[in-house]
Amino acid sequence: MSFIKIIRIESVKLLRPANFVLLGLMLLTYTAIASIYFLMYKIESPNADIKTGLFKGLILMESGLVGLFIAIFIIMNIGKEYSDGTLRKNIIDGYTREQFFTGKLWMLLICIFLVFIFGKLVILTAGLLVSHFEDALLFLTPSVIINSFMQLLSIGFFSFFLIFLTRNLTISILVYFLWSTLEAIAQKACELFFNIPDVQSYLPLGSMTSALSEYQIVHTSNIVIASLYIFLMLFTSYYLLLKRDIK
Amino acid sequence: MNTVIEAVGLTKQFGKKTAVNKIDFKVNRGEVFGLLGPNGSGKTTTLSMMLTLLKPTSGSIQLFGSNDLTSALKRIGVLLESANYYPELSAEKNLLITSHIKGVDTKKIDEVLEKTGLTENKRNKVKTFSLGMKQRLSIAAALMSDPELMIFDEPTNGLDPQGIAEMRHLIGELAKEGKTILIASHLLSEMEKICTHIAILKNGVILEQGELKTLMQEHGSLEEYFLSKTK
Repeated sequence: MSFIKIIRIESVKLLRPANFVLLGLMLLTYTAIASIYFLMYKIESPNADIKTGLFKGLILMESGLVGLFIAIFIIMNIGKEYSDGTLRKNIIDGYTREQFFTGKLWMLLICIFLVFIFGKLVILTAGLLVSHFEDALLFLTPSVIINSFMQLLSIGFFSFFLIFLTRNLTISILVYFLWSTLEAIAQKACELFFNIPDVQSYLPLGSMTSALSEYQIVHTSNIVIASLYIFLMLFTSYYLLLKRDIK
Repeated sequence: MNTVIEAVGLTKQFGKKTAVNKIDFKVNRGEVFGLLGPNGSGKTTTLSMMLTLLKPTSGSIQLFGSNDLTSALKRIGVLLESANYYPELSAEKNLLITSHIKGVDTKKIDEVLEKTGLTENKRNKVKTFSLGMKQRLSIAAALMSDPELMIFDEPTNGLDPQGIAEMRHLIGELAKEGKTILIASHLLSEMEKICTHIAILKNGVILEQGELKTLMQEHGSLEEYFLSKTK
């Protein structure tokens, strides 16, 4: 089966109202929050510290909100294939597990790419309308782009792995939130009790969050760690789908 | 190639439980083969291995003389006990996915919808369909690739008397067309009307198999024969 055909199959599957509602909600929330940040940025602009704080806040908000959208989107769309029994149906119709995996993987990558571009467009528009265009352009520096794109990839592949591991939509979403919280707790605990300042940099989601906190530079070590996790999660997901029974 | 399905030493274990234990059977072209057995006897597990959903612990299955089951699936129409569809998509979109997977011309969609009486509902979401309509959609999907082999798993479960009659009629029509049919069921009276060959499965083991007429010579009905074998 050709790559185009796989993409066509996966595109038809996405024509569900829930996906459009999710996208609409993200658009509204994101635009609103970005506009508020820019407004504060404009008002507080004489104070350099507050400006830096707001800037960092918006970058983290951007990656957090867009990342959450990607996580829910990935978990929902693959999870429904398990809960509705459509994965079974696809396999019975002659779609191989490899083709199913390839389709979902490309959907993940296309989704991350589009949402990333879309996020940047919202930033530019909000910056242009509420503040100064030059303020918005600060979000398009190479370091911010590389760090935030890697962050979205980490979140996307983590969600991808979770749903293939648990095969359950609700459990995956719960584990996603629980894991994010656990990473934050681990970071604080290591700081407090063991005096290890940056354990987060070595964790699957935290490695890029940590890099984004210092958005001015590209953190090669964090990117390497995040890439290793991405490959590990990708191959484990593939193995799980290929080797396990579909009930 | 006269043999359509051939299972040799087929075994499936779930942990310590053996659901299917070294079964051998063969279905030849044009036969209506009934896989009979009480609930939990291993019928659905056997079908699931044939459909590549479950991986056999040992043994093998060949479809159309080939070990490449995935390619063979495109030549098979399947009706499972529970119909699995994208509930938020229309019947037409669901069949579009099936047609892309099976590599069938999309023009076939309208043809099968017409055949199953779903044309008027083709743009309605599947989640609004009744059980009977979902079953008809399953039939439409199964007929998409003009299959050489049809597999039914408990085809009449949950259907009303009219639905059961329609299903029996469909199977009869397909048999007349010379298609090979494999049916897993525990409804013996239905099977007696439809099957040419049977295999009786209990606790994952085939107790008896062969031509229905020959097997029933000693007994008046399939039910008596079945009970004598499974008690």
